[in-house]
Amino acid sequence: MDPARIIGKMTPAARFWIRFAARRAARALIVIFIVAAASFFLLRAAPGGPFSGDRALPPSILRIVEERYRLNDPIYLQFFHYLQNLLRGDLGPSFRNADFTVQDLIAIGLPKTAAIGACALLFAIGIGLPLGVAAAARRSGAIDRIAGGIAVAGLAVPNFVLGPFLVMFFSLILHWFEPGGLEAPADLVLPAVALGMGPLAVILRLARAGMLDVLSLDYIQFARAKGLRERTILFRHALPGAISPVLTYLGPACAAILAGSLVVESIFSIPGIGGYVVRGAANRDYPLVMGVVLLGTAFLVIMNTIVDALYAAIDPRIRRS
Amino acid sequence: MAAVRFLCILLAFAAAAACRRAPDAASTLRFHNMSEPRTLDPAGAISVAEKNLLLALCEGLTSLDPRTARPVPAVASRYTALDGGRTLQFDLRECRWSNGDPVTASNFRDSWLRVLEPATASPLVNLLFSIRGARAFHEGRAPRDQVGIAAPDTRTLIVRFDHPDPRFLQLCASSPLVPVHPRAAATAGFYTRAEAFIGNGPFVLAERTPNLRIVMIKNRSYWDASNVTIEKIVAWSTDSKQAAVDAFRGGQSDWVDDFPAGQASSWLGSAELSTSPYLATFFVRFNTHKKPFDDRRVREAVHRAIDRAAICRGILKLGQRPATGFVPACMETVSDYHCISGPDFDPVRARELLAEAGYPDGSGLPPVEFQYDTNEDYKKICEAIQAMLRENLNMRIYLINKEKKVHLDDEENLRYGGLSRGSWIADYMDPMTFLEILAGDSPDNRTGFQCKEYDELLERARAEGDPKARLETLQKAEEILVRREFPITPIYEYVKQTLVDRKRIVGGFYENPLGVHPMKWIRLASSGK
Repeated sequence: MDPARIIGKMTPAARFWIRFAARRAARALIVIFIVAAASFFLLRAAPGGPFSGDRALPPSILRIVEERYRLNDPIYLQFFHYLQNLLRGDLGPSFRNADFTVQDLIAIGLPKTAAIGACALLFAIGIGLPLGVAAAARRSGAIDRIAGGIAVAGLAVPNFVLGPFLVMFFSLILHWFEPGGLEAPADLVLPAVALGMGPLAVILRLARAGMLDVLSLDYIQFARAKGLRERTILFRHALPGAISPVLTYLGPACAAILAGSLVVESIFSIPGIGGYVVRGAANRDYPLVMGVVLLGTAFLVIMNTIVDALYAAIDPRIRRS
Repeated sequence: MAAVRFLCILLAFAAAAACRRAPDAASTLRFHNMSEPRTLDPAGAISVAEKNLLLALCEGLTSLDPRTARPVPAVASRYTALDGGRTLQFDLRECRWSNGDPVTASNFRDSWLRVLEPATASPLVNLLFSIRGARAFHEGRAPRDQVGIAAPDTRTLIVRFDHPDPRFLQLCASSPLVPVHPRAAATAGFYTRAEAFIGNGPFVLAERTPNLRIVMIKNRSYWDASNVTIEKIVAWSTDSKQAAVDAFRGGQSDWVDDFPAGQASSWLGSAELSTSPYLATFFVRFNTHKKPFDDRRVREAVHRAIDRAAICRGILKLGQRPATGFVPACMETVSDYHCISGPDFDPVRARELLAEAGYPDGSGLPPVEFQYDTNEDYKKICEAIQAMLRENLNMRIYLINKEKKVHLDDEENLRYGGLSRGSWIADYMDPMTFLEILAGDSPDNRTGFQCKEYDELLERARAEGDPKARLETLQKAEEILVRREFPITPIYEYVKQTLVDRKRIVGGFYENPLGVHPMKWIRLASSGK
């Protein structure tokens, strides 16, 4: 059948979603290309090479290694080769972890980063959202004051302070958790808390503010006047209206957690992909840094697309505009 | 309500904590090996962390005595020097790879030739250059069969040299001279997957998780397996010395190979602290192409104006020795070398030298940049030197810290402003390992120092047949460095500072001048005999 006729027969909603997907895919490719180019040239601009060390390689050996990785080619040619390999799905070898390819390393590290990231997000939503709702429901009450304290602390204390504090208190003093590593499910707890505290504070504040806004609206007053139970009012009528700022924040929250994992993974000695970026940059491991940066970019583009799609699905006005 | 909620969270925490990992078995040795190894391929290994692991996974013709780090028979049960030391004959004992194949003399020959192949790009290829024809083969000037390594039968290896090489038996114990299985090159993931790895050492690879740990288990096919009591080794990798110390305190490891120097005082007097002289020197490089350090008198003045004893006492505190010579004094305990010391701290003579160079009381001296790679420990030492040069020579010094790779790049291209921090760790127990880095063509020179006489002395030492005369020649070379030309000024000799849980590790663990710990010999509390 003629594709044009298929599209012609579609409902406006279906047409919107196809256009949405096509536009987003094109935009994603452009974003990824720009990020690839920017990180490639920035990495190369940093002085020092991947093979320098306290002990220098003999010049003849250095020449062989540089030729092998085409490091002596003009830089635009190197970029071209990188893109070529990227399209073939080849992210190249790691310079620092010479026994592994970048794909190997990502396959090993990604599940760990994903695990602590998912736990951190669950922790942030699971505690932040109910606490924000409860704080709004009992405004100026004890919970509200505690929630306020948590929000301020969560925003003010960066994860590189919180992390070592958690290690000190829960591992070295109380001996509840191991100070580092990722061997048992329990090892997820401290990193997830360190990573999720910032987003938790934001979610808490957004949920509380959103809830307070909605609770002052007429339809809530009406529900109250009608004699509905407070719990029904809160969760069935107020929460859906209050939650959209939290939903909007999920995209940035993922970005914050991804960025935070760089620090938190090194505090807790978790061999995830966050550490690859830090160590990779310090070691001038160009392919490794590129691989992880592109993976992170793809992840964020996808998360933002999902959030936008959810938005459009919830709110018909967006589809019309 | 709030209190209940808080209690719930605490309870959830405690519940999560309750399902912690199972403790390691009593026969498992766990240690912090510091930085992640770059590779487990013996041809590519250079760092101390890599050497620690390769001593467990592979075994050369000799291995290192854990107390002295001197070579002892290993795969070779006997070695005989022939032809005045120009030929070494190794008789191999009957031993097997972890897959059951016999370890043969040709395995050694092929492994060494592989290191010499230019395509292998082995960073320590120079260590094999004393073998006849090796350098020529590496540089493409001679065919493979002209290299003086022969395997007349499966259990005899004959190595020929142009000149006797007194270091060679030591070198045989370490990478890159340990053998690799012939299948290594053709097997994907040989060094990363336990099922692919084949080794001939006391342990075999069981798990490799980059940036986390390497697990090794006892090799049942190892010829001396009955003397190995450890069943399993977990080697943790971390870039953070602090994380390693935390893990040690938390009981996650039995030994930590290093800790932040700032914590020296807090560990002093503790039973867990172990320190011993280490073949490593901390020194300062001069950029001899830059004013005022193009004048050797200014360099000597700087050398004499630094109070090294004060740095060791006030900052380092763990028994580090002030160094005025480049080769550490503990070289004397492991070889017949007599170390050369340079001039002592003498600010009066330093000022005289400065005046002779045309800078009386430091007047006319340009401001000098002192560059170091970012590190809290280095910073303190550099600040102390800065203050001493200011006070004793009236020299204005600006400290500049740079990220490690940038620092190295500046050093390699002689782009640093005058002074630069450096350190050197011995590869083997012979003064050559220090002295050759200041040869004119050495990529580790980084000072611009070129001295024909010095280079000729090193060449002469390499060709010298008589061990005593060889060491005397090397002494003359060191004299040029620390009594005459001063391309560097040594500051202190390192100590190896480790933390050892003596309740767990009860035997076989010694500090030696190379700072290596062959794990074959270690005895744990309940696994030992």
